[in-house]
Amino acid sequence: MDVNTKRRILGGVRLTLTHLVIIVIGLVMLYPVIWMIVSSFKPNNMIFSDTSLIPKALTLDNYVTGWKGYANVSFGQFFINSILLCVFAVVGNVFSCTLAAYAFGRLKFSLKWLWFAVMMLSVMLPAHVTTIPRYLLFNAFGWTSSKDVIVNYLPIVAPKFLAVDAFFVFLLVQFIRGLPKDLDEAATIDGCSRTGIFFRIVLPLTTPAIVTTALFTFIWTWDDFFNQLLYLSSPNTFTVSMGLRSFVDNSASSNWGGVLAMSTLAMIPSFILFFSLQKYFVRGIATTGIKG
Amino acid sequence: MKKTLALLMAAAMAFGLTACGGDQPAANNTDTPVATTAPAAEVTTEPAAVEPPAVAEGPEGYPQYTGDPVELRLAYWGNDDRVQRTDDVIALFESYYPSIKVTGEPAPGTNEMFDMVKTQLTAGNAADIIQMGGNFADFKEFIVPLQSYFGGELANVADPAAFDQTTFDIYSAGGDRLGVCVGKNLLALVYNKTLLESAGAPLPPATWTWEEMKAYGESVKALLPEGVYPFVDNAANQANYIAYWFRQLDKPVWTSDLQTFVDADGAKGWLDVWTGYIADGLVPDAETTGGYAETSPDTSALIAGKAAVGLIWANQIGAYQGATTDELGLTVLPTGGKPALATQGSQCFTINKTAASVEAAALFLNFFASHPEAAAILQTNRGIPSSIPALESLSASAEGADKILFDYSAFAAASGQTIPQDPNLPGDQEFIQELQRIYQAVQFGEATNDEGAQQIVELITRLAATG
Repeated sequence: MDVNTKRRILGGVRLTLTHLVIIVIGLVMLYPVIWMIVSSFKPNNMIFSDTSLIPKALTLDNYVTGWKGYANVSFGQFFINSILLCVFAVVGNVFSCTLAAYAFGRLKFSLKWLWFAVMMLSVMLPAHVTTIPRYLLFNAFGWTSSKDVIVNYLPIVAPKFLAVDAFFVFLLVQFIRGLPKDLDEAATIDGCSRTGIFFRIVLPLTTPAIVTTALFTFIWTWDDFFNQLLYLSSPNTFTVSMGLRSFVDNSASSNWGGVLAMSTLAMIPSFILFFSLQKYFVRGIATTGIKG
Repeated sequence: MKKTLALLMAAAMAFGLTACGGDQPAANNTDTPVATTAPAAEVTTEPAAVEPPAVAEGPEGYPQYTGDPVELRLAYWGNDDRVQRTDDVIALFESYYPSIKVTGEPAPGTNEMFDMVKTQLTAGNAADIIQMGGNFADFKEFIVPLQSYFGGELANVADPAAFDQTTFDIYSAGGDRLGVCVGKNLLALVYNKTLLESAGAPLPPATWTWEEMKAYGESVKALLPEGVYPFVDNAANQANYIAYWFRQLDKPVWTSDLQTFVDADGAKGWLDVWTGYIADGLVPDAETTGGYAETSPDTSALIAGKAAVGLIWANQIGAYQGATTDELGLTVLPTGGKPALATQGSQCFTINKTAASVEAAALFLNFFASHPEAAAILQTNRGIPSSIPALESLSASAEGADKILFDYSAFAAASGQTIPQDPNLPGDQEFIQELQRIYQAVQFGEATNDEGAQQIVELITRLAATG
C-alpha cells in the first residue's frame, strides 16, 4: 500500500469518525425534540409513566384536544394572534432600527457619541428593571385591560416602531459602517439626498442584516411569554406561548398531550422561516462583527 | 431587490399607521365582535343614561343588589375546565344579578397569575376580585376586610350551618377576614396501588406513625422491583411537610400571631428521618431525587415509577390519576405528637380595595361559594367544597378520583388530626428554595445533619423577622 492510499484511507476514517461524533452529538441535542414529537402521539396517561421513544399506544387525540384551545378560543386563534403580533413586531423593528442605525452609522449630529452610548447602555439594562415603569406608562395611556382587543397589543407592538431593541440597532450600525462610504459620496455627486442614499444605497446593501433582524425579532416575539402575559389578559388575545402554558395547571389536571402536540405545531413557523432565510441569516451574522 | 425593499418599507409605514389607529379592529384577530365607533345616525350628544335597577336583584334566600350597574373583573388561574366552569357560574350569577357584569381574566398558571397581579397592583390596575393562594398575606394591604359584610352581602357564606367557617380563620390577618374560600385542601400520601399489589406488597395502612411508616418501607423494599423505592424523598420539595413535622412537635414554623417556635433539635429530627431513609434505601438516591421537583405529575418520581408512596395535595389526586395507567390511592400522613394535618383554603377569592363596587364583588363571592346551582357547576374543580350542602351532595355521588378525595377528606376530618392551616412564612418561595439547597448539601454530605438543622433554623428565623 503506497503512502497516498494510506493517507486516503486514514482521511476517510477520520472523516467517518468526525461525522459519527457529530451525528451522535446531534442526536443527543435533538433528543428532547424527538421525545416531544413522539410523546405528542401518546395517550395523556402514558406520557410520563412510559417515557420511552417507542410508544405503546398511538393517538391523535392530543392534536384534537389541543386545537380546541382554552376558554372557548381555539388554538388556531392563538396562532393567528401570534403571527399578527410577530408580523407587526418584525415590520416595526425593521422600519425603526434601520432608520436609527443609518443615523448612527452615516449621519453627523450633535452629541452623537452620547446618544450611541445611551443606546448601548440600554442593551445592558436587564428587561426586568423596566417592567413596572413600562406597565405604569402603558396603563397611563389606557393600553392595559382595554375592552378593545387591538389596544391590548399596543404595549408590545408600539415600542417596536421606536427602535427600542438596541441590539438590532447596534447590529445594523455595525453592518452599515462596513459599507464603503465612496458609494454615498458617488450618490451625493449624482444628486442623491440623505433619504435617497438610505433607500437607494444603504437599504439594499443591508439586506443580510435586515433579514437577521427580522428573523431574530420573529423568533423572540414568537417565544416571548412574559410581556404577553402582562398585557394580554383576555383569552381571545392570547398567543401561542400563553395558549401552551394554559394547558398546564399544577392545581388540577394538565393536558400534557395537548401541550406537546401544539408545541410540535408551534415549532413549524420558526423552522420554515429559519431554513428559508438561512443563507441571509448566516451572512448577516458573519459580516456584522457579531459572531453567533 | 429595490422593488422588494421599497414594498417592504411601504408596508412598514402602512403597518405603522395601522398600529397607531387603535379604533380599527384587525381582521381575524378575535372571534368576538369588537365595539367600534357607532354609525353617525346613532350618535347622540346626551351621555348614556345609567339607570339603577328598578327592583332589587338576587336569587331567593340571597342578599339583594340595589346599586348602580357595575362591571367587575375577576382574576384567577386555572386550566380550560376551570375556565369553562367559572364562565358558567358567572353567567348564572349575571342572570340573577343583571346589573352586575363580571369579566373573567384567567391566567394560564399560578405563578404567571401572580407575576401579572403584582404588576397590576403596583400600577393600580388590578382586577376587582382576585383569586389568592397561601400567599394572600403578602397582599393584605390591597385586600378589603370582609367581616363588615357578613351580615349583608356575605350572609350565606357567614352562616355556620351552610358554610365551613374554618376557611375564614385560615384567610385572616390581624383579625381581619380577607377571603372567601370556595374549596379546601389537605396534604396526603398518594400510593401506587397497582405497583404495590403486583409486587405482592401490602398497601399502606389507613393510619400510621412515623415508626410504622419506616417499618412499612423496610418490609416493602425487598418486594419492589429493582430501582423502585418505597417512598419519594419529600424532605424539602415543599414547605408544608416540614411545617407539619414542626406542628407535631408543637413548635410551629409560623403562627397567625406572627411568631416562630422552631429549634435545631426539631430540624435535626426531620433531617435524621430522611437521611435515615436514604441510608436504608427507602427513598431514591440524591441524584434521582434531584431530577424530580415533585410539584405536579410531570415532575413526580411516583408517576415516573421510581417510588411507591409520595406526598401530594389531596386535590391533585385527579391530576396524578390522569397521568398514569396505574391505580392510585390516598392515605394520611404519619402521626406523632400533636395533631398537625392542616386544612388549607383552596382558591380563595379576595376583593381588591380599588374595586369598582365592593358590595357587588361581595355578592359575587357569596353567590360563587355558596349557591347550590354554582356548586353543581363547579363540582370539585376548586377543591373540596366549603359549602356544607354542596359537600354532602357531591360526596354522595362522587366516583373515581373524586371519591378517593372525598373519602380521604372525610377520614382525615374524623381522625382528629386536622387543624386550620398556619399562614405561610413571609418569603415563602425563598424558604422553599433555601430549604432545598440546605437539604441537598446534607444529601450530598457537604453538611452534617447538625449543620443543616442549624441553617434551617437560621433561615426560618431570618424570614420570620421580615413578617
